[in-house]
Amino acid sequence: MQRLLVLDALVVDPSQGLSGRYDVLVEDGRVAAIERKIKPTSDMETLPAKGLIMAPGFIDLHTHLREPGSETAETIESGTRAAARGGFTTIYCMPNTNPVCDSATGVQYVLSRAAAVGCVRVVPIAAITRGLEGKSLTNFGLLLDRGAGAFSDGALGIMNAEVMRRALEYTRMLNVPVFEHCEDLDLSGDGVMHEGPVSVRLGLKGIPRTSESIMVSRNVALAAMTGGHIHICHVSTRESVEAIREAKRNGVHVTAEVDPHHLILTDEAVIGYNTNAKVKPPLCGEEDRLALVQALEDGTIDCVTSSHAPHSNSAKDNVFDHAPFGVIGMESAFPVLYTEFVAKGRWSIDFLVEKLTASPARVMNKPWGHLQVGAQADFVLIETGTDHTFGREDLASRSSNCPFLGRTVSTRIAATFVAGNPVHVHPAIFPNGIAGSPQVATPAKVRKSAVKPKPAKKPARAAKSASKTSTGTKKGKRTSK
Amino acid sequence: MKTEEKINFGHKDLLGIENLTPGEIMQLLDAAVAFKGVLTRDVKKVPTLRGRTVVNLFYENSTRTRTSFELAARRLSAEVLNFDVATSSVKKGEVLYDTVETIEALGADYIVLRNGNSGSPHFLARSVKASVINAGDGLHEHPTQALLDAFTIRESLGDLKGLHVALIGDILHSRVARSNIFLLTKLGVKVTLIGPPTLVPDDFRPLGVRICHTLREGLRDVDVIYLLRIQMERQQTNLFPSLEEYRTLYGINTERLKWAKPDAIVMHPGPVNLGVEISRDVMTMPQAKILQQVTNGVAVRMAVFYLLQGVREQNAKIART
Repeated sequence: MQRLLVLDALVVDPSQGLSGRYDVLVEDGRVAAIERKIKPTSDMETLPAKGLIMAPGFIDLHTHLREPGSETAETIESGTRAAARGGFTTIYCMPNTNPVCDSATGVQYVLSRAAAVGCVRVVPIAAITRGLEGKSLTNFGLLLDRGAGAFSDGALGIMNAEVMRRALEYTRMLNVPVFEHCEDLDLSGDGVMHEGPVSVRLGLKGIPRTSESIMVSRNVALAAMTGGHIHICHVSTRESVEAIREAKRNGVHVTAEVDPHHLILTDEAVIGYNTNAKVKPPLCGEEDRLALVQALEDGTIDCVTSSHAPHSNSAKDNVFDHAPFGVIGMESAFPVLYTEFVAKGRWSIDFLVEKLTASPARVMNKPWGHLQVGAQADFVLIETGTDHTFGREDLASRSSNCPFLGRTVSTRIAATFVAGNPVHVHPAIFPNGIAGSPQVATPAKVRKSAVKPKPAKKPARAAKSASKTSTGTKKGKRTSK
Repeated sequence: MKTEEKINFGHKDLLGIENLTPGEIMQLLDAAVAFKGVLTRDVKKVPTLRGRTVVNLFYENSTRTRTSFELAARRLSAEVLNFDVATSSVKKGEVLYDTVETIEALGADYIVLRNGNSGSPHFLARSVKASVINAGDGLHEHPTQALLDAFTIRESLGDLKGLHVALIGDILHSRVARSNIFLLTKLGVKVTLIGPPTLVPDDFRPLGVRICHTLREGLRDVDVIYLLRIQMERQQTNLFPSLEEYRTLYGINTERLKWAKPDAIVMHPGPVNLGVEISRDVMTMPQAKILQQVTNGVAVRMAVFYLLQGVREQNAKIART
């Protein structure tokens, strides 16, 4: 029997109202006991965690792992490592790969790759429509049976209301949510950022705020009509928040997520044509940002997701119009949210942990995201209280399109465990590693091998784009105050 | 003009008006006065850029702007290379950066860039040693146009401060409008934008301008009537119903000129859609300064090269010591 005793950690588990110093015993990958004091015995590995927060492993309902099809940007291997680095132990991945994950084979591919090379639990989200064309529905029942966790057309909203109606109507009997990126493509047109004074100043084409909220309103109306479960992806505007709040009040089965960049940054982050602030939905105004923070606090928005969307450096190092939409966020999500909201006193640590664990589990109706006795020992150890600059060395992703590079954060993920096994160990916090970790001596090495295939054609230019990124994030930081 | 004179202008590139100080703008306008003097001499050439190479890289056709830059560079004794994008590999999908890398490898000191993407010169300026001059980027800025406009206004009406300029037309899609708004508001000029809400959205207000949707009201007490070219393609995008309707609501003719101040001047960046935004008879009136704008364009662009060259030489001196 494998036994690991975590000593004197500050255990934060909102699912059981736990917030205090405990010893935690893990046996054969499961939580065996949480008590004020557990006496170590000779058959236990001990892990002193004094001063560290111990929380259930985070759950991310919205990531893009890019495999198959865009392996220069991310793979299931590098994406799960990015998850581990950020404290996530369960991640849902979107189906907009190439080929699209719209078949049993596609779902099986993701699951088998994750089993072979992934280090955290991966749940594939299968497509709502074949080929993401927005026309004909995929085999929901069959795909669910093969291991799909939800349905979504990824970054493409379903424009045809009839198709959306049928998707919600049909999935009701399967008890599975439809994840929807809400966007009216006609209104968005060829816009590249939030439409407002900043887009006018920069001469960039705007995406009007109603592009999202009109579709949110339509989708909650269809959910109300059908009784299906609609999950609104990465909410970005005040009006969308209002529509969701109203729908929840009326008993519609709607849930919603928000990502760290929309909680922290505004459209001013784009100034300087910073392509690492180019996302869909776009970063909006300060009043939107505040509405999102409040909506998360009052439960209108259920949980936080990263919307991790890797794009290779060469794709993002471009003129703004031509750079792809999307930013990565698994590694930075907890550090920036903790720094911005917990360290500054607006949120308790319990609240933030809940929005990353129990809340997303509740959205998916899964028994995950907690450390109750008997649960799989997926957990994260967190160091807080000292300032660090969040930099490229904090990323495990193959891409570095993170809008928070260069930002000061006051926390680091010390270690991440899946089923009692360490999948990330911060070398500066645990210089001697953690027993049982296959990665004790290798994290740097593994990372290098993943980074190597990146085209190093123009070293001088790569260095420049790094400095560009950091000025961009500095700007973002200023606006967030 | 002696190169030893003190140069305060502090930019390697001219990317836009927005990041210039009022002092830098005045410095450019004052230098342009001297170059306009050069242009009236028998020998219209000075040696400022002797041995330097200027590359005109135009991704959108613009004979006027390109010719104006070319003439300005030649009169400063530079070598000029026109990179014909239509026949080059750019059409085959070569990305902007690679093209410019090639141009720089050929030894360009100045890259004059016209490109359909907002922010493209800013993107380039971060990675090349040559000085980048923005000759129009997407909907964003066209700084030399705004400078030559200010120069022309000053030549006709004197000190800019306190004047009232009305910009009329498709403001939303106009880089000329944006650069003019930045420049004029910096110099204390009152700016009114005139056009339908689809082309003049309220989001312009934070830039410090007045917005007016009716021509008559907008032209009241105006010193300068600045017309923008209406793009024929915009009719298909429902931003306005038809050219006919546009002419009826916003077209300038001799009758409507009277709605502005009696000595108001009329300007247009060209090329003009005769009979749409402006009638033929207004074009021939002495108040119309459209050809004068073209002449002044050369002097202003010479001034831009001159001041950038000063900065380049200063930077080179610093690098040597």
